[in-house]
Amino acid sequence: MQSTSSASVHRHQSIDQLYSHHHGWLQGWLRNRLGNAADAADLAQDTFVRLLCRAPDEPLNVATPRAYLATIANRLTINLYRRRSLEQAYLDALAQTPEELAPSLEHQALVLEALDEIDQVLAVLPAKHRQAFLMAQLEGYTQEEIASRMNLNVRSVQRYLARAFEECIVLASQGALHE
Amino acid sequence: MSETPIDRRIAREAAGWFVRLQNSSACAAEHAAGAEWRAQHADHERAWQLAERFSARTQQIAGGAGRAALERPRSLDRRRALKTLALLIVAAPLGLAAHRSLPWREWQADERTATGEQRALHLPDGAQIRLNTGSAVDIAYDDSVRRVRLIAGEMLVEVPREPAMRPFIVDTAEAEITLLGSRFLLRQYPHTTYLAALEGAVQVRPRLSRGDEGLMRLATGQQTHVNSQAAEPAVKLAQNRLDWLSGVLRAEKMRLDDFITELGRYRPGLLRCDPAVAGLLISGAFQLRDIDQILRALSQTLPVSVHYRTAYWVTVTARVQA
Repeated sequence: MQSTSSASVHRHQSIDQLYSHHHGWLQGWLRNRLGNAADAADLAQDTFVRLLCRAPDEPLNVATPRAYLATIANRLTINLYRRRSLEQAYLDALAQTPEELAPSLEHQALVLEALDEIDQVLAVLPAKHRQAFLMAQLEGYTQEEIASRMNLNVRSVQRYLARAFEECIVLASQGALHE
Repeated sequence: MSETPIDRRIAREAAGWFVRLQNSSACAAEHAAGAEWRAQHADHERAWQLAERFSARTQQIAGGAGRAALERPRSLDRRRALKTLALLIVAAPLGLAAHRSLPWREWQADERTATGEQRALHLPDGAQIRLNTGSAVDIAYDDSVRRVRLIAGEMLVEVPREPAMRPFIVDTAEAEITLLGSRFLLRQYPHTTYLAALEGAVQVRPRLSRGDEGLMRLATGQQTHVNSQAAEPAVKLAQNRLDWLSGVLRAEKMRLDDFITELGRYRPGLLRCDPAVAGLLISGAFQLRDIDQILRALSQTLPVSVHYRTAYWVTVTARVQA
């Protein structure tokens, strides 16, 4: 217990140091890459928040701090673009829906949150895996039906679906899906 | 507090069970075996729960706008991210039109090996990939480029010379690797890529390097480790890197914890080494065919005992003196 809390104090100090030495650099680096100061400021902030929220016993890689920060920031950037394109696609699709059927704003927010989780998993899957997964989960096709529609055998379909669940377990257990 | 990440191997096993048991033709015995697997370890159950939760979450998105959003074309966000971050350099020109008629030129496959499994893949251009245990690759050939993404594990790649001269590129989490010669070994570690040139040269571009400054070339007989920022200086190839190809694990004064970690790659479940014996040194050549045989031999040659909590949870500890 004692050692855990002193380790986490130590960790906070290292993060403070990282912040004071590299926050300015990171924000500048992101601004260069994104060409957008507001996004750069948000993502730089998020990068440090991410460090703070990680498991306290995870070692901080302070040997190459900038490479370390850049790796995290890059991941966040890709995620930001993915999320924006998802939101845009959802709003575009809603615009096609008759007004009386459109869900309330609250409901839309809930749906977007669920969509975002699913989309993070889909983002790392090849196209065919995505297709099989959506057919199974959203349209309720059986594995046999997917196999015949995609012209595959059932074992391949199971492999595709299992890959999707594998990625979701890994991502969810890293806490990546609730952020 | 946040829980620890689940090992990818456990996630894969859980996903396999989950999907097989979703099929209505799964019999009672399969369900029983699945339940037993879940009960074997807390992480098995956790992994299962996460899959169930995710499955339930997706089923809420019934059709409509949500579905359309998930099915949007992905090339756009990817292109946007690529353009901004220059993560991948895709500069290869389109192939000659004549080659389009050849049916094998566009080709896609996803291959993986289970824990303990090794497999050879034969690609349509005559290239061969040997996958070691617990490995996964996505293969995508098109007119202009042959691309293989190493997602997990380890592989030996043998690339024949091709008249069409399409580049052969391997993507890992950290680097884009262009194979210029004919025989290479790659392994994906948690935050680095290991790369060895066995025959011919290879060019490495760490993902986060800008322009040409991070580019590095390995010559025959050299190896390196690459993170997303830079490659370590090349050193001479360690010959024991090739041992797995003949089904052997060779140790020379290897620390026991490193040895156990290496063995654990080939055996399903958890294989742990008690820190009290981690520093013991071990030497010898071991057949990877039968890991339990190696574990038995271990307790005969070192002052250790091997405890089977379950078949999937094994710990090597100090032997208690009688």
